[in-house]
Amino acid sequence: MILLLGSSSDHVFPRLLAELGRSGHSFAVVDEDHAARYRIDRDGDAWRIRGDRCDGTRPVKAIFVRHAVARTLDPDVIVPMSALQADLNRMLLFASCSVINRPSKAFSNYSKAYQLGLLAAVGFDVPRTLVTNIPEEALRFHEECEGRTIFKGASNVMSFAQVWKAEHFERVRLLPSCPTQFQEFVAGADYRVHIVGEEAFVTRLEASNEDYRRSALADGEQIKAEPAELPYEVIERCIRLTHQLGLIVGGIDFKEAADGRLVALELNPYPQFTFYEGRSGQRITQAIVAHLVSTEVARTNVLA
Amino acid sequence: MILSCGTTNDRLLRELWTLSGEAAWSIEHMEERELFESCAFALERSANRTRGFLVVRGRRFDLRKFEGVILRLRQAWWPSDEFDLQDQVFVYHETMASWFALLDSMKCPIVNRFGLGWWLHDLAYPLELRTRLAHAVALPVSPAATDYVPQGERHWPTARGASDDVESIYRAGGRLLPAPGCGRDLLARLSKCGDAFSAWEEETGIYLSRIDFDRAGGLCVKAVEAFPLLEEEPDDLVSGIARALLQAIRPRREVGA
Repeated sequence: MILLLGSSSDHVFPRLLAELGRSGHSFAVVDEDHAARYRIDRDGDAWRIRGDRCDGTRPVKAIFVRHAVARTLDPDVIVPMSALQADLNRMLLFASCSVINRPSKAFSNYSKAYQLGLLAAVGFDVPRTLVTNIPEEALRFHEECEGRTIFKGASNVMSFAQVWKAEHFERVRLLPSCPTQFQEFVAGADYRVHIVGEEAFVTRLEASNEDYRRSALADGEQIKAEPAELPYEVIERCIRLTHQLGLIVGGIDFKEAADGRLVALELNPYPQFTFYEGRSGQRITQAIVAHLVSTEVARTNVLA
Repeated sequence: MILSCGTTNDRLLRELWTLSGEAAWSIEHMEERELFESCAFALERSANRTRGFLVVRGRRFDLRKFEGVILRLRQAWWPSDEFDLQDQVFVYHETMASWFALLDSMKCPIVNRFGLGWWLHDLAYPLELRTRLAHAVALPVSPAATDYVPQGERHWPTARGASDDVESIYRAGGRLLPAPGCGRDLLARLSKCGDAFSAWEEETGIYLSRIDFDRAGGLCVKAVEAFPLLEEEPDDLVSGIARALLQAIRPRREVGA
């Protein structure tokens, strides 16, 4: 049996459920949006998930996890969800079956400047980047980049990349209150490479905004997304980095400048692949389910 | 120059300052709040170059000039309530993510070079440290693997507990320093694992830890504390830990006995 851990209000969750349903494989779910329904018990070497339709007896042979994100500051939501996720993470640390992806391996994109170092270390070109809380440093960087700079969050807390425009000079004085990441602006097409085990899905995206997510999510614009190809060595590096980090699935973002320069921006350990496959028609969900099924273990210490 | 970060009432830091002073070594200290709220910094990176600096007491220091960093951050800092709650959360994570990248880019010894799991208060982080260490020194983990499970929302630093069944040993700067009550046979056994400890330290970035061993039902690793509190430990033990850490940071210089 395959176990899904996540949020029923997330786009990935229902797509995976539908695909699992089509595949005919048995599965169970832990819907973290209803965290109070579940409890995780340690029973010798076994971990038993009980609650909802989980009775703690059925062997779990592979796990897909994409934790819910609390989109509220309401403690009545956050506290039980955090407690359940902490219990699940502890279980996943000891789970003897395949896990896509283990949370303990999925922290690297918390710090984007740190992750850029990882991307550079495997041979990718990366944009010139500055993280600072000093206004003068930001201004110097902007000038050295000939006034073509974007800024965005330094962590993985949701924020859109924005081009530095005239009206932003005034805001630079706020930097001492919160460090910010500045990057040379590489104009061009976006690529998202999804890695699933040894498989790669390359999607090319075009949008009017510098951050295509803003075009699609905030501005409600249509973006163009289509299957594409990138050189073999790029794909090989994507697979290598994903595996080096201890991940099975990853989503790596690139920008391709008009002169052909390809820069890596970040690796997302919990990519929202449904956003891409819904537009490009690539069968990423199917590949993930196939991977889960093909890596099912004979003996497991997780029961649901 | 060595940078220490933490609270002034941290006993290990006070010992380190004393030893550094005796050796006339340059050491600068920043409180946690000062570090996260008012320390100016810049980190710049491209495909083949990383550089940056910190401003400490009004003086700008290139990141390459630091000989070592001692991190004793209790992680008690939180942004000012002048921000609304949502902005507090945002500022907190931007600050932590920035400092993690900056510290990671520094090539000097950092005690401890905590993983992101520590910075993110991942409750599984101490368990993972324990699992990896137990594997490295070929010992089992406590049979009741959940007996050392931090309760609550995060893992707070701990002091050594008092239990007849538990023996503790400190690992600092590549040395083993037994805590009171640690038997000779345990020390002798672990002394043979120098390479395994070194590999674990290299892998995890944890160069200062307290390792608790459970004696009940056979020797096993009970817990790894990557932020051991030393307030109640004997003077000579704290001094030995501080000395070992300084020796690791500046191996070519003598630390006074």
